[in-house]
Amino acid sequence: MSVTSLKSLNFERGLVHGHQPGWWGMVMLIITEATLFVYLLASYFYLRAEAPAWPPGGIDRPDLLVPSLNSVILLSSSVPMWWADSGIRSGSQLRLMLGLAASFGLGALFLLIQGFEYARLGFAPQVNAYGSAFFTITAFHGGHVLAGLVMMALMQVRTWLGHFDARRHLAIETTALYWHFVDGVWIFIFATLYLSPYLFPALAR
Amino acid sequence: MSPLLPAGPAAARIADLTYVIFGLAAVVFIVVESLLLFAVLRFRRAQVSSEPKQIYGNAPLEAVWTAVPALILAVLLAFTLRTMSAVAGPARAAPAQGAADAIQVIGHQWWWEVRYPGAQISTANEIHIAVGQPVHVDVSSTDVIHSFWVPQLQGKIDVIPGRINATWLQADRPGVYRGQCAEFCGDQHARMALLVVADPADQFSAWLEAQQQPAAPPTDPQAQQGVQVFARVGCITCHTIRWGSTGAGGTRGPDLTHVGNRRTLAAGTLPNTPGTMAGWIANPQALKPGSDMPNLNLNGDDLQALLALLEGLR
Amino acid sequence: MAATAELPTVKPLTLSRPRAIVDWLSTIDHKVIGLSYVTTAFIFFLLGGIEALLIRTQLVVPDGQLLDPRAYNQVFTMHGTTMVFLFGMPVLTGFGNYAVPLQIGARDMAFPRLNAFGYWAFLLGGLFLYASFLLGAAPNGGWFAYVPLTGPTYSPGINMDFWALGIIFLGMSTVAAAINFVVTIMALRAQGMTPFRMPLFVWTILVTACLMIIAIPPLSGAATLLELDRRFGTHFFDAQGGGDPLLWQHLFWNFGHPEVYILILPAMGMVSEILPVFSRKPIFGYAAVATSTVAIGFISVTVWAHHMFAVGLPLVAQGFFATSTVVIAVPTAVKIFNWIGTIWGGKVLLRPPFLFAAGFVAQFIIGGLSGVMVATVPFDWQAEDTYFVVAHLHYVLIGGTVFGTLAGFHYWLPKMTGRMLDERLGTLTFWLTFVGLNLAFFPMHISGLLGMPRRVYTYPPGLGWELPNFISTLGAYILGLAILAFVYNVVRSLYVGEPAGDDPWDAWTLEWATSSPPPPHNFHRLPPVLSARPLWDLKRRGRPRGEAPDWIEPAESGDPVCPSHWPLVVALGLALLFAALLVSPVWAFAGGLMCVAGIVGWTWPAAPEPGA
Repeated sequence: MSVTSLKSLNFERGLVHGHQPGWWGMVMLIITEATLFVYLLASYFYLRAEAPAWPPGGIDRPDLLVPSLNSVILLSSSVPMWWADSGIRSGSQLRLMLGLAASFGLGALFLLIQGFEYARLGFAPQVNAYGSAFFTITAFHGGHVLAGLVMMALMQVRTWLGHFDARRHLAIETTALYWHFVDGVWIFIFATLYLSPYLFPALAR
Repeated sequence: MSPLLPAGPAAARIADLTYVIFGLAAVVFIVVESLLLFAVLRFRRAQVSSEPKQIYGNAPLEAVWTAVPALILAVLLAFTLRTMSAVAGPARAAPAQGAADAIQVIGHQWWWEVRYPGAQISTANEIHIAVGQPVHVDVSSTDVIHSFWVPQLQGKIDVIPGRINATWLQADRPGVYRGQCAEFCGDQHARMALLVVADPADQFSAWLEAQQQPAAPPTDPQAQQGVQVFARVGCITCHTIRWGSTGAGGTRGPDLTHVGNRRTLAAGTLPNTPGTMAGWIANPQALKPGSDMPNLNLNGDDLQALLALLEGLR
Repeated sequence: MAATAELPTVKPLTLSRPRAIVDWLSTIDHKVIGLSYVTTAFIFFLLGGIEALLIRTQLVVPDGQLLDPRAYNQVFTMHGTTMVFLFGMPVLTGFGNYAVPLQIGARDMAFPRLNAFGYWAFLLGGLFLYASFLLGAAPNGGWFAYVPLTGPTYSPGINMDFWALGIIFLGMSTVAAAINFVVTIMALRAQGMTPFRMPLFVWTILVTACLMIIAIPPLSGAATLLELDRRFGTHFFDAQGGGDPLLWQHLFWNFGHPEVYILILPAMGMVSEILPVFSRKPIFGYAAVATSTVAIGFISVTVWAHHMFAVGLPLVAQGFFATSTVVIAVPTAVKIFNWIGTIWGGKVLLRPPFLFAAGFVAQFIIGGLSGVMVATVPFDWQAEDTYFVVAHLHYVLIGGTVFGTLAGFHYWLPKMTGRMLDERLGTLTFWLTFVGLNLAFFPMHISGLLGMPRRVYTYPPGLGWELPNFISTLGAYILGLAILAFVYNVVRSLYVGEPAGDDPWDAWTLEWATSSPPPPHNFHRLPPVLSARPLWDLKRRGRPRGEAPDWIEPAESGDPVCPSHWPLVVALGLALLFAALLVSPVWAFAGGLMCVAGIVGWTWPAAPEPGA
């Protein structure tokens, strides 16, 4: 009986539909985290639908200027991340290092500005359901940003140690994927928390 | 306390639906279990030497046994939707004017406050209605979620703080119908019952009028002493007795203006007799541990005085 | 059999036993992990069973004195929490862990270390929850933890903090396993195993895993919001602060309903494996069974508010949820007929795996019918929160999940241990379980229809509830006897059970194409996969048909993974984090650091130089 060395149906050259299993694992993780944000944002709208005024308790609608600028900062951090990822695919350690550092810097700046915004808001999470939702949703996101920054720092160290090259860089791919998710989900959070009170003032009874 | 012994139109509609779905379920049960049992028994072997015919499926058969359950379920759904509006619909209507047509039930841990706003009556754990008269009931809670449920008259409705739910009750024959809290609400969830007393219209009106009267000042000296004790030992912090046009006392516990006439104590836990009343006041934590009513460690005299007072509040 | 004689001989081990406890702590072998899952889950099942017997003993007569209400509330809360989170999900995850790689012809799961992490997080999460008993502060707000009862005002003690944190911790275990299952099934199937040639058990695990991925977030999210309300003064669920107690219910049941399908689908998958083998013919309507599994998965996210029919939702909303609930009954009914069609015309061997699988069908019919009954909304307005629902849920969870699990045990333990279970003891276990279940839970339909509410620590005499309760308690003790018989059977088999051989049941899926227990790498060679029954093809035809190669190599998952202690380190870090959240922010931070360190160690490459 002959034994051939064919692998699984999907597993040609170690790839499943063009990506390694680890990449798909990150996709699944992103799906579950995205679902969490879906439910948090749905909760925000649910609480809003029952409130006589929104924001309630005399709180002003959120300031748009600084958060919008901050959003630009965060979203733009996806660009150096993409640049770093495609850089290492063509073997450029330099692009990887620089791109990671730039993304890290922009991400950290976002969190810093977010921290200042918290202080400026004028209400606390404990004031009412609006405050609770606002802080909790942004804090959940901030936690995900922080995790991304830790990942980037770790990747930076490993780059210096020479762990990555044109063939082996799965950890960079997954880090990049995660970071794009963190940026992408911010769009929905920004739209919900900052824009929707202006766009749909009639949503509250 | 069975929903299958309905005493009013809402529960009767639900009971009718119950018999329909139960009948349907019974038929399906018999048919499908028989097929299963038959298959197991008919085709069993002690050992197998050759294979049976290897059948992979049968598309037409599978289509049929997908369509038939779908059809049966669609019919069931139609019955369901029709019954829903018949049973719950009247609650959605605004309450009619008049004292007897609308009441409020407020859930507490672990007793039911019952108010007749039109008549300015507040009582506890006992609702009186006139036979044949639909009564709108607004329900809410001061603390946790409870569920207001009198199965012989109506389906249950949850009682939620910050929200007013609406239901309606109607009894078509006189009787006393037991209800019980049906949403886990803490330590004494098991002992949070209530009674709905349905009386002919004239008896109901008499009850209503009597409830509207303030408490008669006691003539018996022991009962008069009871009034002092009531204030001195602290009952008055939680309970109100309405001596004049307004009440005096707390609202954390049931209004006691006519407590002597109630059929039960402690939300249906005990029948209302002098003996049980004494036992309850002397040691509520033994009968309903965790309830808000503390053990006051009363001496015999104080206890007797209170009893005389309360038994006289009819 | 001609085919198995050609496989190289492998010395069977009685158990794939690591040499020392240290090896076990760093194992990444899906078989060891799977066995660990099912064994640990079974121990929690026994604990949950003791809690059940305490409940039933308290309720055997009216005004029972065994448990005061505070103790009772802890016992029934932990009974539900244990059975759902510490038995139901883990035991099915464990069977999935063991069987899926074998059934798809793979060497291990796609992420072996993540697999190990899932087990450790489960074990530590369960220990965390049970540690609450040591403090006399076990969760006491019901397994569903409705607010405001479980909020800061009405549950000021630490009980519900244990619950919320434990649930969040366990959720991580579940999601880890779910991600692993999805990617494994996507990536590592043997050549030729197209989706419609996968074993039906694998289909059910796939759908279950997808459900876990989207159902755990609302639970973990809700539990987090609950902790924030309880300990940080937020107002998500408190009406006075602009929150809503019903938000909790919506979030919880968005988890809770897919959860019940998570608990039943793998058991259904096991039934779909076992009935054909013991009827000696293929599953009737493979495509329909696979498709209805997927359909049930999709529809299950649309029915959640049927747990909320009594809260006062608008009638239109209730009508919608009644409709979606009725719709989900259709693919479920289809499966029942497919199973009967499988048995029909077969040659049925009434051996224990078949008895439990057929018993599943018989009792699931009852549970399904009572489920349809409570889906009829006005009836539910009477039956909700009564013992009628307790009857329904136990018929589907015991008659369904437990019977399926017992069927799986009797079918797969020989593969796992290399020893057969005793058939007479297995048959005895079946009859005791069957009688026990029906005696314990059928009368609850009646006590529910006589007005007995749920979650009551006692009840008054004179309402007609005494007799059904008495019979139920009797049945519960018989169930206890059944489980004892089963445990005895298993332990005994480890010592004196007959050797199982590779393929004791003359079955058709790939796990039977290797030794019992399998070698660490599972397979030396695989038969080609040309249908859903690769071994049947091989045995019946001798030579595979067509131009397919004779044998194929199992799939690899990239670089081979060595045993690793990092999964345990991360799990311990999380356990420290959650336990410390109860007492001290400093220790919580330490736990967090330990997690991060563990993850760094875990992801650090084994080979330092790429391409070297």
